[in-house]
Amino acid sequence: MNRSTTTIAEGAPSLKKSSYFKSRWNAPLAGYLFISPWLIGFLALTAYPLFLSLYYSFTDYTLMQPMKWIGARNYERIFTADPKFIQSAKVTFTYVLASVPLKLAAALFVAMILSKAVKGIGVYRTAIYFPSLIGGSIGVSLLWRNIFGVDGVFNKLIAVFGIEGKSWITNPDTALSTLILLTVWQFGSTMVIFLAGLKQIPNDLYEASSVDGANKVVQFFRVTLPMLSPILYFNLIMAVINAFQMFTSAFVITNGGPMNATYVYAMYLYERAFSRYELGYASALAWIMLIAIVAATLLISFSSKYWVFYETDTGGKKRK
Amino acid sequence: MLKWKRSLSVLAMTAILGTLAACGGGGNNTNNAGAATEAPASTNAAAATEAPSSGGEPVKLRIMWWGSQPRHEATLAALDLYTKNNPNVTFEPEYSGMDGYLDKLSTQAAANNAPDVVQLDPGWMPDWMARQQLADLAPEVDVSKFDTKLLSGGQLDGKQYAVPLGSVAFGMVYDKAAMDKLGIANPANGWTWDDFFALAKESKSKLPQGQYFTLDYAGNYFMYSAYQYAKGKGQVITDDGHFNVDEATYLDWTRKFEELRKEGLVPPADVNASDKEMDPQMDLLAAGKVLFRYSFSNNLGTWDSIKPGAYALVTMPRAEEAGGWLKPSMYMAVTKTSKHAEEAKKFINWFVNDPEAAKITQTFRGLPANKDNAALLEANMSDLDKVGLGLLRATEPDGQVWSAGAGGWTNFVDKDWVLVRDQLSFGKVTPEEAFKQLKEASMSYEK
Repeated sequence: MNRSTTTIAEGAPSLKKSSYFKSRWNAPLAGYLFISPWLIGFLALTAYPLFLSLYYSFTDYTLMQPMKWIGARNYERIFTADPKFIQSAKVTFTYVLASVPLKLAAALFVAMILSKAVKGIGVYRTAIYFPSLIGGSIGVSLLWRNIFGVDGVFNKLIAVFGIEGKSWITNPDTALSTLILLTVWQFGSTMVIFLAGLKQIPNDLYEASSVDGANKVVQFFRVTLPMLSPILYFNLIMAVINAFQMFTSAFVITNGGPMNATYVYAMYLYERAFSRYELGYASALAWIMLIAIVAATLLISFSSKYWVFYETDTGGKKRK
Repeated sequence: MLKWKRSLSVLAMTAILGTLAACGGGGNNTNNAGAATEAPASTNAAAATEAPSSGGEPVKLRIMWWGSQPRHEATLAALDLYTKNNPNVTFEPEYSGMDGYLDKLSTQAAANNAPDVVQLDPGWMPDWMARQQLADLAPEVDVSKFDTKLLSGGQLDGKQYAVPLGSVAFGMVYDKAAMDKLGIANPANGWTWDDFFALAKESKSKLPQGQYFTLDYAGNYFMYSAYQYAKGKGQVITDDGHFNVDEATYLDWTRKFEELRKEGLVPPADVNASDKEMDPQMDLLAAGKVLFRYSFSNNLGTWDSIKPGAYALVTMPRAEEAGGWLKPSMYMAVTKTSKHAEEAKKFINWFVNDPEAAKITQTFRGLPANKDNAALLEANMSDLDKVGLGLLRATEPDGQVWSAGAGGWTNFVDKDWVLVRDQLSFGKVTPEEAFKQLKEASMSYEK
């Protein structure tokens, strides 16, 4: 830290001496120095480990023994002789495909309700956002386990209507659904972003459309959704990335079971790395996950030109 | 240099995992904070009179164990006493239930951040010793008072890497109060598997709705092991690392439970899967839903604390041979990465050999493996402990010889076997298919 401040101080006089250095080097240097805390953090804690793990993924590295370069054999094994990879990838894809649309729909629905000006709206907003603050924690996972257990609150609730419940979490047919429900319930931050987006939509669009005879449903599909599409696009990408990395609830609530119904990819990766100590193999798994996430993100971003509208697109260029 | 690289590799992993990094990092921070505040307190340790540790250098030992509340309290009291005798040594205890214990410890070990002193299950010993994660305890830890049978599980290549803390017997616990009320006969030590299944059938007409004879043990590794032993077919996994499940015995066992399942004598699969041993809310025995479950002789206290006076112990059913066995309850070891290995070993020596320590830790880890301490405790035991001792003594004469087994099979028992268990109890596979799956899964572990 000290060193960098002196460099700035020493660098300062040279600014006047040479305009060449000023434009070509010194000014950016100052900028780099200012962002150096972040830059160092990024290089040391993100970039370096990232590429180190890429390197490890081509080795047989069991932590206690020296590592051995084995080329692409880890990847070969994953794709040709690893039923657990297929199983966990399947579970994760199911989870992503089911939880993301549900979560976005729930968030948008609640955001639309909360965008109305009602007395005490701040309290409602806080109450609904609250689960997201504590959402990722172990405590909530434990709570979830109790709610959906055999003697859980949920079963007592449906017993009122004469329905006999079961243990939802320890049943292979329903275990993943309960976890998805937990994710959907934690829509708070997504909802807040939607809420901000909804506030940005100019009211005259609604007024104009209602003059033209559009009802609420038409308004939603013709005004709200297109105007909100950049926000939706952002939320979709974030939700997909998060869903791919789902770990805590599967680990705490169901421990991957029963019958591997909730054995998500991150859990498999974790098991390879930290209970079998196969770090090379786990690194390869991690890179496959990274590639899958990048692919999903690219897919969404390519598709975005067909459904994401910016005001400049619709209002300006296209009309002309 | 190597260490440095390893740390980075773990960093790499955690960076990718992202969410996990948050958990690990959080834990470390609190640890460091604790160390920083506590350190100055013990600077005048040298003034202590009879401190066996000569230097008096302030040392903070991290120690980790699992257990129930009474064990936590007893252990903490023992740590306090040790600090009182050796003011330069303070502790940073990390204790929890069994759930997730190994995962947490393994993660810490992978990051070269394992506690100095750790409690290990006998089943994990081969792996931990083979991976060279533990320090040789000689000569600081005196093991002359220990039964060699118990010691051997902590030895590799003539070195003692861990000491046994206690000795326990594998048997069954049953809800005596409920059975007396329902008019079901109590079992007696030395009963057979035939008696067991006969008693199950007999109880059928007496059990009310929602109550079952026992858990669905069709796919339970330990119960099946006991059955295979009783039939004289030896270990499920041999000491030299081979899958040794006797197909006929396995099918016999799983079919018998299939029958119990059909007759409603074991809980439906989803209820059975919700069982969490010794969890006050989720343990099916504690909840009064089943009458029998397997137990170690030292665990009675935990159930008794949930429903006092209700439970009793009985030996594991037998057949041609005994079904139960004595085993070291758990081991204690010093991790290789400990910076205070000397102090840690001195502490362990005190913990397992000192009569004062034994008086505090009681039988919460089984009857002390140190014979003198065991005799000392036996002299004035609580009634509850006497029941545990009864099972121990009843199992002793012809019980099976316990073995730590071969290294590298932990995951087979914890993950592969569990998957097959689930499929069996949910009726997704037949016993034959279950056997085939186990055999296939075992291939990748065989050496």
